[in-house]
Amino acid sequence: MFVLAAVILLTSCGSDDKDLQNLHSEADLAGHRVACTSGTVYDLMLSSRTDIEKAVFNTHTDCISALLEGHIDVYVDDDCLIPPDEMKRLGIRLAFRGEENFPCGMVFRKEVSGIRDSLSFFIDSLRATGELQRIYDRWFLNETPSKVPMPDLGPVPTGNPIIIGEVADIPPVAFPKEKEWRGLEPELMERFSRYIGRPVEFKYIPMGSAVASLQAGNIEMFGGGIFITEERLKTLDFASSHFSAHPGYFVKDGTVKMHGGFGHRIKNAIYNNLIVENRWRSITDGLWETLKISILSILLGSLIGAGICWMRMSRHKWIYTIAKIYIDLMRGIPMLVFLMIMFYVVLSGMGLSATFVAVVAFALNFAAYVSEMFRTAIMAVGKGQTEAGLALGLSRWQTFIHIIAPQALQNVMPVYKGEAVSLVKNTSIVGYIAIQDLTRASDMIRNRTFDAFFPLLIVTILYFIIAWLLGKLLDLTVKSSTKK
Amino acid sequence: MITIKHLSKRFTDPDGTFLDVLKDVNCEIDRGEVISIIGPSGTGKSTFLRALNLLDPPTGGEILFNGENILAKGYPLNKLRQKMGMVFQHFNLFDHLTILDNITKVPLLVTGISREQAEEEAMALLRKVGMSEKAKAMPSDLSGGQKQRVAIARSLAMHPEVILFDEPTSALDPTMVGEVQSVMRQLANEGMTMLIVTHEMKFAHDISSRIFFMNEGIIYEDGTPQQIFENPVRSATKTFVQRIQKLVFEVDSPDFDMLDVHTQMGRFCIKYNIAGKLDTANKITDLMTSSVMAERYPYTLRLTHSEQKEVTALDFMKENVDVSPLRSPEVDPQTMDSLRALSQDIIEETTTRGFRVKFII
Repeated sequence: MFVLAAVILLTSCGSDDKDLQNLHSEADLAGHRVACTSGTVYDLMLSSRTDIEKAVFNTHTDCISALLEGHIDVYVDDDCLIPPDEMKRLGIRLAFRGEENFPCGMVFRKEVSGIRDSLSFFIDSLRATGELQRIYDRWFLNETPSKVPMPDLGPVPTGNPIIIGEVADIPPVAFPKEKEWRGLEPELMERFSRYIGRPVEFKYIPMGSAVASLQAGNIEMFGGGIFITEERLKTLDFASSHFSAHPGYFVKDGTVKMHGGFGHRIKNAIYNNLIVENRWRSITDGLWETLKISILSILLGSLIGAGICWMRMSRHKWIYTIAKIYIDLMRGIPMLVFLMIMFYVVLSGMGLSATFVAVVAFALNFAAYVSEMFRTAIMAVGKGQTEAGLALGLSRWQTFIHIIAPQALQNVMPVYKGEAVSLVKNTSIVGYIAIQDLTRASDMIRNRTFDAFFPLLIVTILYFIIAWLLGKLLDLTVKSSTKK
Repeated sequence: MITIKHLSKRFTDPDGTFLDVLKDVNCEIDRGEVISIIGPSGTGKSTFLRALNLLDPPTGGEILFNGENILAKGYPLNKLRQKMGMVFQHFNLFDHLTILDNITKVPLLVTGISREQAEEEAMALLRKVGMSEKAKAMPSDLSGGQKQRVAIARSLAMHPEVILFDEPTSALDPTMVGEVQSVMRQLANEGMTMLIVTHEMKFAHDISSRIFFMNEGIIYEDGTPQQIFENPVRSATKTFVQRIQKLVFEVDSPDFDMLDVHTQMGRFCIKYNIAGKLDTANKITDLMTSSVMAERYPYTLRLTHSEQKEVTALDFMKENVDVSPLRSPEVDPQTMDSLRALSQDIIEETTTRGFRVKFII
């Protein structure tokens, strides 16, 4: 009996359900563990409170997972962040709303007034007629905003599209579904498209790289419930506010209990993460993207690597010096930083696709590493092999291709395989330049289901299979090349 | 077939220091000749071979092959090397190819031969060197002797006019030297022109039509095996072919450390397996230094041993003298008798520099 009581006491300590029942205002937060996402106004708001235990996470998905797992008591964010139907499904409820009012607007870079002024005028006129409120109500007052269809707005104008970044993936603000973007912002922008006579195109961009993308001109503007703050106005411009958010204080709903056995829960996980809204499609699309980038980078990188290797082994001092500098430079830059530099600085504004830029960036990095592997593998083939080839009457080139290269290939394969597999895994950072790869696909599903485990498990298995198959493929290549 | 004039090779380091390995090599090689190149280590034997097929291009001189200057710009080097085969000390078989492919690979690449015909020829060559059973094996499955036989077959597949052998048996286990040498003998009997760098004197003596003794970067002495091995003209040749080992002391005063002489002679005798002669050598040395040579400083004391002829000698040499010290009236007959009793023979002779008393022991 004592043991049982101790267990109950231990498991219930910290998050007293009864206590959370009486959470009605900001004053009641005292003594609780409160979470928010980093860099938001809520982060600032909570910093001024010394009577609470503050936890800061990178994404709202992480906050919700922490709330569900019981690591935190309260999660504060935009009240519209978790729609009613989602709250019910997850076992979360909105304890209360804060009184603050945060106007949100579409973000533009400074000194680009044309489209911003038109959008501001368009939003202001919608507000004047009451149309803006009607759009807001349709998305925000619905119990299940993810099921609200986009209205029929007539034919899409033709011409050069306006590229719009979306940092949100949240109903009812903006969310991708069935190959189109839905929500308040997409509807507003589609209406604006008809008004201005140009098509619009949406692109998911993580908050971390949205501003860089904007400055580089990859996108015209971005949205996703971005608050208009004094600080942001110093470096960015906003169109007229199109809606306002309020702080929402979310807590775990103690009345909802997880039910069903293990099998039932697995079935639910598969249904929610894969079947609903054809979510498996984002996994297969992401897988294809990851494969495409990996394979093209490995092929291109190996070619460039062979070139660098040749330069490195050159007898001309300045040629091998250039190769050496290139190798040292590439090995000294973190891949993520290099990818961002390529996308937002070096190759920006040329109209190149993000996938193309990713392939080039990964290939250049891969080349630096494999060129040194090629070099050591070639040097490991004894000098006698070259001499035997030459002495029999082969030219230098024939000796290299027919005698040295096949042996070097065998030598290099174990380390080359490791580097190729490591490249595949490294491609998981391409989400930073708005590519929807396998990792990003799991994030998208996680954003919707707040199930941390299942989507991560699936992509883990998929990455493992890719790596394994790649290894087998490379082994086969070596076998067939040496059999001849 | 090959004429070599004033051939030289200088190796230069990046820091500017250089080494003249070949200084002035001149020779004429006719079709069908089997020439062994012998000489001490580091005298340019291998460099000479590698200069011939331009693996280490010479830095001076002229090489005429069938009357054409192969050092001329634009000379078809790859064609030359097909006609001038090479067999290496470390075999250098292509490690990633089977034995059969090792032989067919290059003919298939450079001649218009069909795979079928190439393989047929390769099998015939493998049979000739006794390796046809191993056609499908990899080089790593073979012993050193087997590898070298395959390497010879590979070289023959190009139908060369001459084959250069660069120490073909030096890397082999002693038990495998014979199998490679017998393949080479067979080639020599068939009239193949061969240049062989070797340390196997008996083999060189038996197989060759001519011997080049190389020393100090030149062909120091050139002749038939009989001339070179039995009657060498120059002393360096003789020292080398008779494998003469020397221990030399310049005795310049009565204070010379004779105990050290005895210690070194002891080591010398043990090293060349003539420990039984140490006692005699010590006794003669003591007698000579205490009586005959006592007032004749400086003089040279030399212990020599020819490994080939198994002859050991103790020499006492005095410069600028033309009379034997033994003939001096001060030498008492008793000492002379003892010296005669100790040695097999005593040779007294004048040399270019003075007089030498040689005790054969």
